[in-house]
Amino acid sequence: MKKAIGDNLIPHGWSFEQGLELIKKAGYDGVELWLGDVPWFQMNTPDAAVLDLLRKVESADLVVSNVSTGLHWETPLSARDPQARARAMRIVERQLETAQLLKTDAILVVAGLVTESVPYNEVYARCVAALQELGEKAAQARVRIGCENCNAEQRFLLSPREFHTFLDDVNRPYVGLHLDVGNIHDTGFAEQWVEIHGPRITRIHLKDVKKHRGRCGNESVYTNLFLGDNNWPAIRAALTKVGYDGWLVAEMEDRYHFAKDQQFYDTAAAIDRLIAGRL
Amino acid sequence: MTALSRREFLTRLGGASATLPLDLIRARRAGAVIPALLSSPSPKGQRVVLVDPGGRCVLRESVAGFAQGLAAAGVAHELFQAGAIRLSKLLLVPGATLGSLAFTEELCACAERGTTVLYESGAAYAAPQAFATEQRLLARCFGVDVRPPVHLGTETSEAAGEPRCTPYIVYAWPTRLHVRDFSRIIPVVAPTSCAMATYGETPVACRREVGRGAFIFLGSPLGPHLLANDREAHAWLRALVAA
Repeated sequence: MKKAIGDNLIPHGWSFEQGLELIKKAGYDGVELWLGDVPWFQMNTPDAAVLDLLRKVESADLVVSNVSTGLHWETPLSARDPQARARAMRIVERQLETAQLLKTDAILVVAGLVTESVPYNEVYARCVAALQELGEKAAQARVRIGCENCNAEQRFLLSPREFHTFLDDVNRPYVGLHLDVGNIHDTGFAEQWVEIHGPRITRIHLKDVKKHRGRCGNESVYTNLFLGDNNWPAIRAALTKVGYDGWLVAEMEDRYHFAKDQQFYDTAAAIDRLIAGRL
Repeated sequence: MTALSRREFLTRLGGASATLPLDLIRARRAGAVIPALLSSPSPKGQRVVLVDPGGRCVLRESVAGFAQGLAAAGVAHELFQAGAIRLSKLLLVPGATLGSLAFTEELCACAERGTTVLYESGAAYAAPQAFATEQRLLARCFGVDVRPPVHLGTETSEAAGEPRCTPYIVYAWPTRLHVRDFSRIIPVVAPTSCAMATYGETPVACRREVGRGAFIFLGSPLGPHLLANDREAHAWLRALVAA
């Protein structure tokens, strides 16, 4: 397995190049690029500039693990407004295009958002339809779309079996699961998601989670690896069981009050131990 | 029923004696009644037979699981009741306890004639007395030495605040993969050459040649995982059918 971390964790005020240098120095193999979340990689960033990002990544002796985005929280594929849905589709298309430019084969998509006004059944149907269409484009690009399990925040596809049924309904080989082992909270066990989805997992986001704890003010349910309630030996064993040998991508919250670069080193060391099974 | 010449019978009996458990050979020489299968021809026709152990079945969902696994693999099979087993290339006996010498000998006779008998023991879920019978019959008829069941007890260890671990069985044959355990294992005392699955360092499954066939003992149930559509459990069954 290889380890990566998102460029959205590069400390505020640092340049992309400084961030890459830190990522390399901390021992990562790759970097996850977040479309729309960082100043250097936006929807209107032209192809030439994207290629320049790739050049900088390669100069730092890294590779791009995948292309992610948080833009679908504001503009979901499940929106009622057809124009918003068209924008959401375009975001995914741009992710596919940039993934090809950046020489990676996976993107992360937050598939749908259930709200009080956009109910579950609408979200489900729209997401299936959208991903069937996008799945064709992904196949042409040879880039896999990983739908992330954002269980609590999305209020959508809460269980691994439900997610499995969803992917069955989409029925496109280039559409799978970008598994976030920290997002399952109190609704299940990450290792069971790993077991159930196996080869459909495109990438894995790593963070730890504190169960039995709702959000309260600035308190988060998320925490650094090994500080929360995830059963890491069980997760590691499940990865072995299903033969996962892909990217482990750290998706941490920016929680260090001082020496923010230290989080990169600490997280890399924790991932090393996870990969080695020294838990 | 096909008639055998004296020469053919002696040849087959002599050939089988190299791998047959002594008790069965003695029983046969004493005129024990297992000739229906012994004197029938080698396995032909239906390739896979699933046996419903009926009253001997402790894990009913294992029978459903194996049926589902075979269907998912596109393997045609027939379902027979214990006591009326037909010869086949592969005989699957899920979630069972041996219970009686007659049933055990029925399975043994199939193996002698060239069938691969997969016996998934449910004895870990049976009463201690039933397990003792299982232990005795396995040793006597198949030379398989098993130890009392071990309850892996992940739930109890979690409740006690102990570190949780996922009980995976590592299968080495017919394909190498991991399958979650159903919580109770029957350890097997088997040399490395016979052991085909382990929990940690403990063998929990073995394969022994019996006559012209083989007897596979599973001390960790697979059927419930087939029913739950566990990917690796299905892969294991497909590999077994193809082996």
